[in-house]
Amino acid sequence: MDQDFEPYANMDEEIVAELFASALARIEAGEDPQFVLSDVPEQNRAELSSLLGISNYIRQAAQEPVPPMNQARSRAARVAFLDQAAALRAELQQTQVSAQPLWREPTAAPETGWLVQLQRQWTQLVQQLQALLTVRSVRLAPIALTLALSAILASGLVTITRAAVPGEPSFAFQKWVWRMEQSLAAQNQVALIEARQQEELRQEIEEAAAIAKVQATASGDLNLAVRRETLTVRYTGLAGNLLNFDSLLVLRSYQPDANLRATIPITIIGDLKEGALVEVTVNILPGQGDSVQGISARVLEPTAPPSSPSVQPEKPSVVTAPCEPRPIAGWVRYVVNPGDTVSDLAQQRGATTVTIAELNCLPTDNTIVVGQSIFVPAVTTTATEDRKSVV
Amino acid sequence: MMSKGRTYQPSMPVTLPISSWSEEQLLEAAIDFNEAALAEIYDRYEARIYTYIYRRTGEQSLAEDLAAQVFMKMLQAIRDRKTWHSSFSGWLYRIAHNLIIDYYRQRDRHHQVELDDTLELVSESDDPVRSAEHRQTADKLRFAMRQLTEEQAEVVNLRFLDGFSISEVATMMNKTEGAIKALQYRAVMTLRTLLEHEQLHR
Repeated sequence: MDQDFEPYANMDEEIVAELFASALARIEAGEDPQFVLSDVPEQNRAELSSLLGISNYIRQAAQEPVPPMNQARSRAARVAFLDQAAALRAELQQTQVSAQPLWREPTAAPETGWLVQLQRQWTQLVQQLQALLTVRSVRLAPIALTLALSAILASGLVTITRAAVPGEPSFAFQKWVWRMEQSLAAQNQVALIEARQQEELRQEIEEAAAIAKVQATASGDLNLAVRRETLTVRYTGLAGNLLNFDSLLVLRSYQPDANLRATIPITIIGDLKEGALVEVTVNILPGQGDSVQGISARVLEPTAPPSSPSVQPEKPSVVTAPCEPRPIAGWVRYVVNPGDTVSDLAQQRGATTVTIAELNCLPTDNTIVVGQSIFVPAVTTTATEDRKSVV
Repeated sequence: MMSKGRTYQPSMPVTLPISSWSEEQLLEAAIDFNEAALAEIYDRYEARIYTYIYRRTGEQSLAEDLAAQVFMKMLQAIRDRKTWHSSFSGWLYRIAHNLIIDYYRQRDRHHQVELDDTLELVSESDDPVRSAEHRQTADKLRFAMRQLTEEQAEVVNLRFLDGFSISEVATMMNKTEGAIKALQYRAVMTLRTLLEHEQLHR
């Protein structure tokens, strides 16, 4: 092929294109633009000058500083990449080893290590146990079970679940362990243990969201990466469009299809008041590690009714109550400066745009006005991923 | 590269640290999904691909996502035996370019894209900070660039944003130098018209 582009309209066009290319190359090499222009035939000079001006503008526009990549996401992406490579390598070795496979590889994950099998067995056992026992009845369980639990906790098996992430089989075991810890603790310790478990839960949700985000970008369908989880948490109040469960932030609605914007409001079962123990079913969306979408919330243990006999005024339902920005632990007031955007603020402070927008009841396009006062997470001194230091 | 079969004796220097391998040696090993080679390729290109995508989209989160996708697609291509012919980096940039195009096409399908889509701030201030200025200029240019053809946009990005020479770009895009000069010329002509038009109607 003699020409792999659309031919020039006429000879003049080709000449200008050639002049432009060589003038540009010379300037890029460091020659003085004025000197280069003087070498151009006079009738083309104005045109060339204009084109070189645009080129300069383009190059200046490219001076915009590029923000560094988010370290956590970058690490997660690299891990996912190498995992996929390992999977494909295994696949490749399979086809190399046997020209004619004698048996079919199951479509589930190719890992069949003893550890995974053990996890599966434990999950089955746990699920059977969960069907039989509730938290209350375990308190009354015979000593044997308590001793068995101590043995389990003391063994290395618990360390398997330390890395358990919502959506994985071993997460069910992790939750069971949490419940056991709570039920065995002395009354005055329960609050402390709950707080620690909430913190662990938050971290695991962040991790799950980061990993899911990478998987979602690879598959193209967000629904494949959304993780649905049911958690037992304590309700602490409403903050903007978020239900606050001890700093676990749950949106008042969820997307039935993660690829579309349409949302459905959360279903509340029971009397949702501050202090109630609630079972919430949520969606953890990829990349959305600091807030989750609320699907339903069922009150397990309502708070005790107030001792005062006076009639409480009828409060509007949590779902329909108007949005009022309210800070949560670790968040502070911030006055918007020129040049601020919600996404910049979110990134600087280790939060997501959605959470800041929903807590502050921002309009759907996330506009903020200079001088406006909004709530944002306080800046931490260490890396923004490490939210242990906040609060 | 692709004419070599799956079973071959690699000629890589196994005693040297992977960071000193040449790209050709890395790619040879990568075809077999060698983890160390792939990790090294990833580390060498991740920032460049991310920067390339960021310059063209202006959105960090999106750039991170698409950059991750680029490498996943690379693995798919190795598995499907549809990989680079001459220039690996050119091939990688092309994947990134296609992902960007697909993203905007899909986004435009769902709602109207306006220039202000990338700007979230409503500010009365007429004395913006330097970074805000950069941002606006970059956004204006990005918007104008989306009116170019794919090849024109790629030439502009490779020539002006990444600073590659005509011959380098020709290799990366698998075209003659004459073709690149023509694309460069047409791209700048179009941008001039668009940017001047924008100026007149402010």
